[in-house]
Amino acid sequence: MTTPRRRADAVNLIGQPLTRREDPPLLTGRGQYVDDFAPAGTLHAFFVRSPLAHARIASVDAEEARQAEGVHAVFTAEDLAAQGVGALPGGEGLPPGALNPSFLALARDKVLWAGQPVALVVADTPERAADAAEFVVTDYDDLPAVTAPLDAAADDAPLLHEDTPGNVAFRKRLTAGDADAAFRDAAYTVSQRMTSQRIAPVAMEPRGVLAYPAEDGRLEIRLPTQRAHGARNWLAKILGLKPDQIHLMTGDVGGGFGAKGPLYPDQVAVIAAARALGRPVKWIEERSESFTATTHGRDQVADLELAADSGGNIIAMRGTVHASMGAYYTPNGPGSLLGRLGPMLPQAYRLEHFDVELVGVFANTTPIGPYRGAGRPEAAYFTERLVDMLAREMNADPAELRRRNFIPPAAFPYTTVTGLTYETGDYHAGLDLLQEKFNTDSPERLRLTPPGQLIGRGIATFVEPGGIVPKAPGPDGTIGDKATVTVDPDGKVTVAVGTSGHGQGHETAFAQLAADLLEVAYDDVTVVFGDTDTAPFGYGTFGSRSLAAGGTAIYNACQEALDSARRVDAPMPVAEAAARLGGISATGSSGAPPETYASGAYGCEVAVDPDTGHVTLLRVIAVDDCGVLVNPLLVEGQVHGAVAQGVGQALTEQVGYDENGQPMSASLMDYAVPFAATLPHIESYSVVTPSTLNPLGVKGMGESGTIGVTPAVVNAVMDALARYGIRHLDMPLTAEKVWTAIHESRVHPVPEG
Amino acid sequence: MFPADFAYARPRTLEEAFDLLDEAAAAEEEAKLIAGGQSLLPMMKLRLAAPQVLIDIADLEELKTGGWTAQGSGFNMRIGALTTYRQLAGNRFFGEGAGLPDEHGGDQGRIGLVPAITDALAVLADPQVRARGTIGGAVAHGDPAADLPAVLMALNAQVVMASHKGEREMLLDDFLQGIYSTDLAEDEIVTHVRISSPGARGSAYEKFPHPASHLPLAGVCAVVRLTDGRIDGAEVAVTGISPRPYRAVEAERVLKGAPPTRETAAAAAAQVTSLPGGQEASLLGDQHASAPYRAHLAEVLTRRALARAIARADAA
Repeated sequence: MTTPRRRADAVNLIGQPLTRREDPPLLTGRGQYVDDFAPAGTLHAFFVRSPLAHARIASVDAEEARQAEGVHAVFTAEDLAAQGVGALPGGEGLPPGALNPSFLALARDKVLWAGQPVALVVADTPERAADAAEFVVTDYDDLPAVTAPLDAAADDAPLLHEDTPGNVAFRKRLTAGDADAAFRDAAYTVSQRMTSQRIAPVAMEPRGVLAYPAEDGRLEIRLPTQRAHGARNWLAKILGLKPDQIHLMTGDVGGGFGAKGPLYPDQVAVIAAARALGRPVKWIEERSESFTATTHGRDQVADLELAADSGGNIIAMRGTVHASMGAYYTPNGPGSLLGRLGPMLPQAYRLEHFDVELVGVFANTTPIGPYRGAGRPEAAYFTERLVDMLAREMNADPAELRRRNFIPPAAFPYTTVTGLTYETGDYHAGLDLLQEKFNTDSPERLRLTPPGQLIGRGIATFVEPGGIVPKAPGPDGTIGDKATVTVDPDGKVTVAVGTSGHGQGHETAFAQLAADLLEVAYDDVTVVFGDTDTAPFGYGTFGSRSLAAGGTAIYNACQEALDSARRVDAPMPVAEAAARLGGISATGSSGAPPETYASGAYGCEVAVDPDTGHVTLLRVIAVDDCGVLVNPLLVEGQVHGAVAQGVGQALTEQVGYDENGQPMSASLMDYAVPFAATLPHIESYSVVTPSTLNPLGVKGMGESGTIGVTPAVVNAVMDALARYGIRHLDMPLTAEKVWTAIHESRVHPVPEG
Repeated sequence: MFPADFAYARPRTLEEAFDLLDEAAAAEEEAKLIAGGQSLLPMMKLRLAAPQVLIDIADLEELKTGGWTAQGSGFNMRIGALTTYRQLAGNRFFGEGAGLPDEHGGDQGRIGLVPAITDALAVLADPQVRARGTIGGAVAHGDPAADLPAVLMALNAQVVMASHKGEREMLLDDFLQGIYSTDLAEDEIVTHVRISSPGARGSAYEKFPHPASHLPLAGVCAVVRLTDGRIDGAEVAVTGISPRPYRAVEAERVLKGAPPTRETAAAAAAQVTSLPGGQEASLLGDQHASAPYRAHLAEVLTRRALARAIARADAA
């Protein structure tokens, strides 16, 4: 790899903690989100959604609604079928023999979850659309519902998809070595059923869409999505159009966390309505609607065992993981289990025997999609809980047990028992730094230890794959995210890239990167993404991929621009060359490198109130190795946000259903996301082992906080509760659950102090 | 989040408001009074409430008047129904430094006449709600999980209501009937809350918040008065665990005349769900917290509230 030529006086921008250039407009209300647009004549959409979790649709009568004041149209499944609107994309990367049921924009024949869209009302105001929706008369024949993955997989469970043998969508077994023999010979084994409960992503900006026929004859769409090109291509297929007949713009996107990756049935219905009516149609999701209409994450039950020899070497893992897909697949729903959760179970350890079956299951719930980490947090949670249980079983120090079993620094690149190749890492260095910080009181520590409470400490280590490049070629037939770098004769630089940020700070980081590489002023660089007209092809932003993939494409485009500058007769700065040449235009691609493997070591200290069961977080220490840091401030911001979401899963968040499949947590008065006061000061540190897989040496890290902190919190609480003989509790560790466990324990320790 | 259609009226006087209520009744329309709107508007947006007429009473000067007299620890006060939580919290009468939570003790020297009110306002919802929400709304809404009614009930507060027919007063304990249900008649408006207390310097409010809504899963207000090293009188009120806030009279009976010790507090707390005649308080239980857990929380919080109230009474 070539190192760019560098002027002696150049400022090294890579590695600088620049503040986000996005923030002034966003924080002063100058953001441009989908709901900020209303072209003349915009109509407003409101959905009639299924109130039942499982039912046959006897009839949908929209006549009265069609006559209501201000109503322009009401669409049902039949209306969309008549327009030739096809099914949504099914699951991707499915194993042979998997079910792949058709998922229509509006339900036809049956509804499979409470919240599934059934009809769409379009009126001149949102209020009138909502009023008219109450006049759509739907007649249902109620069917029994099943919502939990293990219940849905049972032989006698109500069947969701007609003409299928059962609700099991697919099975895949990952094996290596001889796990059963290893367990027979093991000196220590632990076994535990654990759940990673269903949770809701709760982005600040709910979903929405605005679509209208443009003057140039194309369909213009404003869609807050993580994948501008991907969503356009899916839509083209569903609507029977060519991709270039659609112009898709994301605008500013107020958080995605994976849930703005899929294209949704409701969005397809709105876009089809705009096409049919020839007018702009807008729909903005309501907050409580979001809890049933936007994908959920997690919802797996793991029955897993871990084995170690008498020397404390972890030798084998075996078991089964059942994962809900919800009522239908989203494209990446199966991938979280098959590509992430299962293969990542070995984590940072060099075990040699592995036998785990992965089972995908349909259930009468909101579809499951990727949610920050998408299989990674679950894998780390299951394994890091088992390692802590094993340490207790062996009466060993949890940190020492981890150290003994880590892949040693000299072993990289290392291929795990599940066949993944970790390129670089130093897990000992991360854990050492964590313990050093954990054993030193933080000067920024604000939370004192409350009297009379039980103190617990927990750690967790993890490995995080990032930077995936899907093996789907772009319009030019090659695989890879593309970037273009344009240097105008006046020296202004425009960087356009096929990844698509939605709050991460890409405009800042990519400008930093390009300014550093091209040796131009940071303020002269403009970054463009999220518009299929102005940004080159790319796969969008998910799976901690943007810097590794998009950044590499930008790096390569910058190199081409520098090459152009070098071809001018005398060596000169790129801006000068651009002035001489009348501008420089260069392109680059990420190519298709393997994934990077970031890692981390997290520690938590908690106080448990034995009288109420309430858990207070006293300390969170995050040590991350994401290779080279382009902007340490953005990295820390990612850690903070992800820690908050991971703490939410550990302590308070849970999407619940009653026995009829009715959602029990469909508002922010019921669904407990963490508050600012839930979190202590987050102590964030780095170790750096550069990736060898890209010219920047970077690794994906956007999800690390959710991966590391969730098991660290639970391990800390279980440490605090060890005196009662409590070994494991499932998340969320609500006060009532913790108090009940203490109350019901037969061990009554002498109170301290 | 679009409420169903409704008519809106904003009377300038109490008399006008009465007229509007009577007109709605004559037209058989459901009318709702709105002040801060912090509880009513979310219910309307979720279409759990769909009044046909909203009567905005924010301009009624008659509901903003109040005053107080104090002698020693005892006091009489009349609080206008439109007084916001923030105005209450800013009132030095109740407690200096009001609105600032103080988790780790150290509240001596900033105790006003009713520190329990300061305690409650510090943990009640968020600054936005405290800026808009009113004391009249807090009692008239009849929410089973509201903070302030527990404090007011422990202070033996009276609810003052008025209509074309005149004014009447009722103990809050009698006024609150059940979930969102009160004694307020369709033609009446809550105008004031009146408190007449022999002393509440030894008072405290303890709350265990729901992790999402921050409403109390359980909340307990304790008031104790000490004379010659004995508890001369005590009131304990509980919110969040029952269809309406209630007075824990059996706990109060244990306290009366007992020494102000941890043992007394524990013995009283053990009776917090007991009612006279061997009855038990009816308990709420849902997916957020089971009935037994709420009852347990009430016992823990009663112990803690009594300990703080006794410490404050000692210091006074």
